[in-house]
Order: sequence, then C-alpha cells, then structure tokens
Amino acid sequence: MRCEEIQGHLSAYLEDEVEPGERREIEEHLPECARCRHELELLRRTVSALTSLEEIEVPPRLTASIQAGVEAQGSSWWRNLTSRLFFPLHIKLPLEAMALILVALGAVYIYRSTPEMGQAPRPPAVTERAPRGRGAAQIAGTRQDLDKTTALKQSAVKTEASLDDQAEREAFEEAEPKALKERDVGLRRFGVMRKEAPSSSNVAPPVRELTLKIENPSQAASRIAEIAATLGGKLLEVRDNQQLILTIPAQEYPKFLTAVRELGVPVDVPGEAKEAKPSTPQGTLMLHLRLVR
Amino acid sequence: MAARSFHGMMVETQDRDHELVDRVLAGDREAFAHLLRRHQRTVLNFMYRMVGERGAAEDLTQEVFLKAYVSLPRFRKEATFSTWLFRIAHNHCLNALKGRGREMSESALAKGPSNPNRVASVPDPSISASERLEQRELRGVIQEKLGELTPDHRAVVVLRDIQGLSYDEIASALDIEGGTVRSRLHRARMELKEKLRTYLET
Repeated sequence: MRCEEIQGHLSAYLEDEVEPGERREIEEHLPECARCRHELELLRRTVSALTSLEEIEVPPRLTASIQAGVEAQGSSWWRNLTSRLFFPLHIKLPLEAMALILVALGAVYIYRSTPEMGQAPRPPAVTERAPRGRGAAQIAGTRQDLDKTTALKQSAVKTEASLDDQAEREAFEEAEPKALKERDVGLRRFGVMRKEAPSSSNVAPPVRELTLKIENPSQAASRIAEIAATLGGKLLEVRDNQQLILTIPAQEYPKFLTAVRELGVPVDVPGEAKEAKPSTPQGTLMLHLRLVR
Repeated sequence: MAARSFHGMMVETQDRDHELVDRVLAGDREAFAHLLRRHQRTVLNFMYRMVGERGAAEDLTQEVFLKAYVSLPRFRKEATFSTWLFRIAHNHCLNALKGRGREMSESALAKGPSNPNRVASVPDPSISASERLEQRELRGVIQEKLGELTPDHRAVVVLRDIQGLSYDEIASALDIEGGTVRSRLHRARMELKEKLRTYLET
C-alpha cells in the first residue's frame, strides 16, 4: 500500500478495527516509513488529547431544575395519558356536557351584559304583535275605563294599519305559530271585526261620532241612555249634558239611529248610509254623541 | 474475562435502566430521579463538547431530559436507555445548532469555552512548544478545534473518543450505519489532527 492508503487506515488501526490483511500491510510499512509513523503518532496524540479532556460536573441546581421541570411536566403527562386511556365514557361525557353548558351560560351572560346585542334589529312582527293582540282583545271586550278611550282608538288605528301588511303577518304566523297562539286568536277575532267595517274604508274605527240637533239636551241624555239600554248597550259617561259616550252592539246601530231621530235630527253624520248597515252583526261600537241645539 | 465482566456490567446497567423506566411509566416519579442521576453527567458533557459553552449545555441538557420524560412511553427497549437518550440529545443539539445555535456555532462554539487561559489560534513562535502544549491550554484548543468540525463529525468524535461509546452504540445513537460511523470518525480525527498539528508536534 502507498502512504496515502496506509494513512487512510490509521484511525481504524489505532483501535484494532482493521482486517488482518490490512493490519499486516500496515505493520510491514510502518518500520520503513518515518512519515507514516509520524502521522500515526500525531493521530495517537490527538485521540489521547480527546480522551484526556476532563468531564465537567453537573451543578446541583441543574439536577434540581430538571427535577422541577419533570414534576411540572409529570403531572400533565400522567394526567393526559390516564385521561386518554382510562377515563370511561360515563365520566368523559358528563364532563363534556358540563363544558357545553358552561359555554352556553357564558354566551347568555355576554349577550345580557352587552347592550349593543340587545339593540340588534328584530323581526318587526314581534314588536307589533303585542299591541295588536292587546288592542283586539280590548276592543272585543267590554270597556270599563273611559279615560282610555282615546288611547284605545289610537291603538286600534295602529293595529289595523299594521294588519294591512298581510305578508308580514303571515310570515310571522308561520315562524312562531305555537308561541303566539293566543295572540293569533286575538288577531283572527280582530280580522273578523275588520270585515264588519265599511268596505270602502280601510280605516274602520270602532268609535262613531254623531252630532244630534236637539231641543233639550239635558233631558235627552236620560232618553238616549234608555235607548242604548234597550238595544243592549250602555251609557258610559255624560259630559256637560252635551257629550255622551255610550256603547251599543254594532248590529243595533241602525236601530239606534232611528230611535234617536225621535229626539232630534242627526247632523253631519259622516258615512251615515254605510255605517247604518254594518255587514257583520258582531262586536261593540263606541259612540261619541254630541248634542247641540 | 475483563471484557466479559464489562459486558456483564453493561447488561446489569441496562436492566437497571429498563426497570427504572418501567417504574416511571407506572407513575413512580422518583424512579425518573434515579435515571436522571445516572445519566445527567453523560448528557451534560456530550452537550458541552457539542456546543462548547457551559450555560448553553446546561439548558440543552434540561430540555433533553424533559423531552425524554415526555417521550418515555415511546421507549421500546430495543436499544439501551443511554443510547436512546443520546439519540434525543443529538437530535436536540442539531436542531439547536441549526436554529439559535447558528450564531453559537460561529461564535461561542468556534471560540471554544470561555477560558481566559486559552491559547491563540496561531501560536506565538517565541513561546516554546512544551509551554504551548501545557495540558490546560491544549484542552482549550481541542475544544476550539472541535467546534470547527461539522456537527456530524463532531458528534462521532465526542461519542467515541470522549464519551467512550462503542461503534454499535454510536450507530444506534446517531441512527447511522456502522460503516458510516467508521468513515466519519476517521475523517474527523484526521481533520482534528491537522488542526492540532502545531500543538502536537514536539
């Protein structure tokens, strides 16, 4: 072998890691080649220098630090392993369900504590639904509180106006049929009332105003009360002997008009001809009767 | 006879390690403390020779043991625990050198340990060879020259000539063939020899 080849095997030769044939060639070459002997010596010194390097000691703080790290890691490692392997479903599922409930509660809390979310636009039918139903019920029922008359009138107008939006109403009824069942009943009732109203007018106030030219208003009041009572109605209030507020069944309105003609002459009765013939004999009319001389 | 008794000692060490591993896996954390005490010095010194800086070596050693602890369920006992640990240490070290260690390998690592007595790379001809070859100084130079090797060559030299692992153990720890261990070791030693020539020739 040439010197280069010999030197290529010196590292293995040092550790007796060469084939017997190679070893023999190296050992035959070395006594004849000072250069290769020198290289072998330098290599031996290199390895010897490496071997002689002193080890550094482990500082106690490093051991403590590793142990602390393992302690911290250890609990999570062990917990993770056991939870993955051994926690049965009957423990896992309730835990997950509880987590879901917590998330839901958190969402509700955030919703309530964030005013902007409460002001988010809602379906318009919902906001209009309550007054509509209430208005219908009140109109259909007996009215006791005269002070509310005006308010009721306005409410009824609003309600009727909103009812005109049939598409909206139907959409809402489709969306929440059960929850608003009661309200829907009220609406249906009101829908019937609406059909009673004069066909030519979209606005059919259940309150009628009537002016009666009469000789003796103070005496007429008691007579009108009698007429109303006869027809199944009721005199609710007399203001200054000039203004009477009374209710009568809607279908009795023509008879009422005929009866009061005995006392005086109705003047300026708007839509008298139409009002005299309510098409549906249901519901109650409220009359504002003004007596003039 | 000596080799056989050494082998017997190694088997005993391996059995002891495997027993401790089993105990750790069964939830005995004290068993890991035993494993740590048995191997921390080896890992720390491997890291120190690989990165050349003590503080960095300690940090890496800590990370290696934490990694080993987390990975312990994947230890299959096909290798010895120490070999398995070296594999983790070697991979972790290479990653560190690739990332944060890039500057380390060029500064701290290339400069070797922060030793005020370290000799200069180019020897002063006015100082005699015997003086330059004072053991303490030479150690600093060796560490410095080690840092100039590629990490692959450095790892083989450290594991073989400093830590004393067998070729098979090195092959297992570095996940390479035995022939590759041999050729890398040869090239690494020859390179070091050339780098240290000035200091080694008398």
